[in-house]
Amino acid sequence: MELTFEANLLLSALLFTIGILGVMWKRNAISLFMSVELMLNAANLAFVAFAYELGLLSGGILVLFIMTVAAAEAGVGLAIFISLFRGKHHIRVDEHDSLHG
Amino acid sequence: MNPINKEIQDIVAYVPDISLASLAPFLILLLGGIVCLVADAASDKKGSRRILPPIAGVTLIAAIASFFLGLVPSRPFVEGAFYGDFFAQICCIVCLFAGLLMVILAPRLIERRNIPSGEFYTLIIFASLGMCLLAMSNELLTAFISLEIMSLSLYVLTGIDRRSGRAAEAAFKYFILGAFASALLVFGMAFLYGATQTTRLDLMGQVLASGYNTLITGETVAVNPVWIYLGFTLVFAGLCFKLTLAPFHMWAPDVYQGANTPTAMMIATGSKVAAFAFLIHLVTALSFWEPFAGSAAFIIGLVAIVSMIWGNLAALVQKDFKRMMAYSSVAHTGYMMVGVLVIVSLPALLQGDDLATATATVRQAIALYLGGYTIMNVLAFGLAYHLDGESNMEAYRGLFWRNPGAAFGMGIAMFSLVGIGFTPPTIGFMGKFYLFKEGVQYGFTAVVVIAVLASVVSAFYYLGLVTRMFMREPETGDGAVALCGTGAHQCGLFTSASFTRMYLIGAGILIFVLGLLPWLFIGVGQHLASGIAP
Repeated sequence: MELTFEANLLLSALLFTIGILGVMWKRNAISLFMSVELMLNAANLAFVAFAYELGLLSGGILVLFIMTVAAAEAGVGLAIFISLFRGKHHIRVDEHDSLHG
Repeated sequence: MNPINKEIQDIVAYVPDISLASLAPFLILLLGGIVCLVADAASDKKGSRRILPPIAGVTLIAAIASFFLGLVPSRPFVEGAFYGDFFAQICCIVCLFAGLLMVILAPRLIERRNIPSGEFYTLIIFASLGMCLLAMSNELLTAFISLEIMSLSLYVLTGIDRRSGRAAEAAFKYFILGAFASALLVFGMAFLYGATQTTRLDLMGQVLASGYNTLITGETVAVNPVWIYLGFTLVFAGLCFKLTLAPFHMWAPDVYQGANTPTAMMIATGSKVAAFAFLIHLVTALSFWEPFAGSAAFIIGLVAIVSMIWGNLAALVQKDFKRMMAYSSVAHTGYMMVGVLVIVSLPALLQGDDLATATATVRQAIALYLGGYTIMNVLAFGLAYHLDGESNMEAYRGLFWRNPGAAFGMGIAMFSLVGIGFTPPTIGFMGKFYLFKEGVQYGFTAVVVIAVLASVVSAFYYLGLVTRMFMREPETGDGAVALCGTGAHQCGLFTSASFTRMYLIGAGILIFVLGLLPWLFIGVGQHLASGIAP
């Protein structure tokens, strides 16, 4: 089967959906964050697919920027997870619920 | 001539449209942030607590002043990455003011919670920088990066108090949901890019107006409507998170409650104003496409109505001040969406010069509402911060007998937030009046009626707080801390306590001044927009 433009876009949408399901269903904070990264990379793939189809370069350059931002986000996120861990010594998200009501 | 040589010569001879003067506010903020970090590294703890607030404050004041020098042009600059029209400049200045007020509130927070001060002030400056960039961005990528600059700074500011478990949990919730929303936003941007072949919003508007994207690649391809709808829905969903619109507002009460109050103030005012400015720019560009008006108005109207109703009903039952303010901000963003509805439907109704003046009028009304909303929230959060037991509503019982100034200030803020009924001289009323007038004029009477009814409901909880302050017996106990003169605060001229008192009184006065003379605010914006524009 040839790798058409529609196939790329479909793959990107599929990855994005898997990421959303992961964010909804995972209970470990790091797994949650991995799902968010999956969503961001699905968007990257969509950008590249569109850029290749249109013959433009700007989509690929956008991908570099988005990847950099995702890396910075990962740094901040993991620092926040560590500070969360310091309190209760676990990072199961459904059990961190002191702020509600 | 060798063809490759010619290409290289063309590339080298091309002068990009970037002038450093037009980036003056951003460069000032960047420099200030770096100076804060270096100054903190160069001095010990006590020294940095003394010298950093003036450095941060001067940076923010200089950035605000640089707007008035007319350096920022009112056209797309830096190759179309930014657009400095008056609406964007006003939103930027409002965000910088929010940052300045957070710098004023910061010393007391740093002292009480033992927070590392270098990082705190630097993060305030970088968060303000991100907000400023987002308000002025004209391109999808610029918007995403500035959104992330602002958001990452705010995530860290939320969780910067290491001794508080609730702060860590609030930062965690904010981070996960914020990252999720950013991913939605980026995926939507991919579709908008694919449909219009460009990431610049102004070019996107031109492409959509013609219906064919011949602009970039030279081929005539019809704009694919599915991608535009999908792209806009995803981008709007991502922005709804930042704007705390239902049903994506669930993070707001937890985060406002768990974060320290100055950061909650920044999230409530600055991040919302900046994201709203970007939404307005995006929607203006997309509204040039004929089929967009009807369907987008439906989604936006639905989200607005649900936010107004949900926000006001949920705020009625809150026992915690910051959670109540979070739900009230949800409702206020619902009211602001009336302005977005008008902007979406304008190109379908008017043409040419009429369109230009109508767009300018609606943007002025929205800017006025945003400015007023910021001032009211800044006053409410600032006062809440300086009262001990700041979050518990029970602490406000009988506040009038313990600290009449604070009670008056909070009363002014609450009356202004209600915004309808017997509150004409306040900015809250004026903002709603102008905005709803535009809404009714362009056919959204039903939404405006629901908004007014929702405001009536909101009077119950805003005025409930006023009742509690003025008409209940105070609790036994020490009561509220006065702003100056007790505890460890000195009453000098340039201390944090005196600045805080100045800013709180100033905000209260400004609520009335802008309520009586709203055109002052707009006049400032018009003056800014006529800057040096080559």
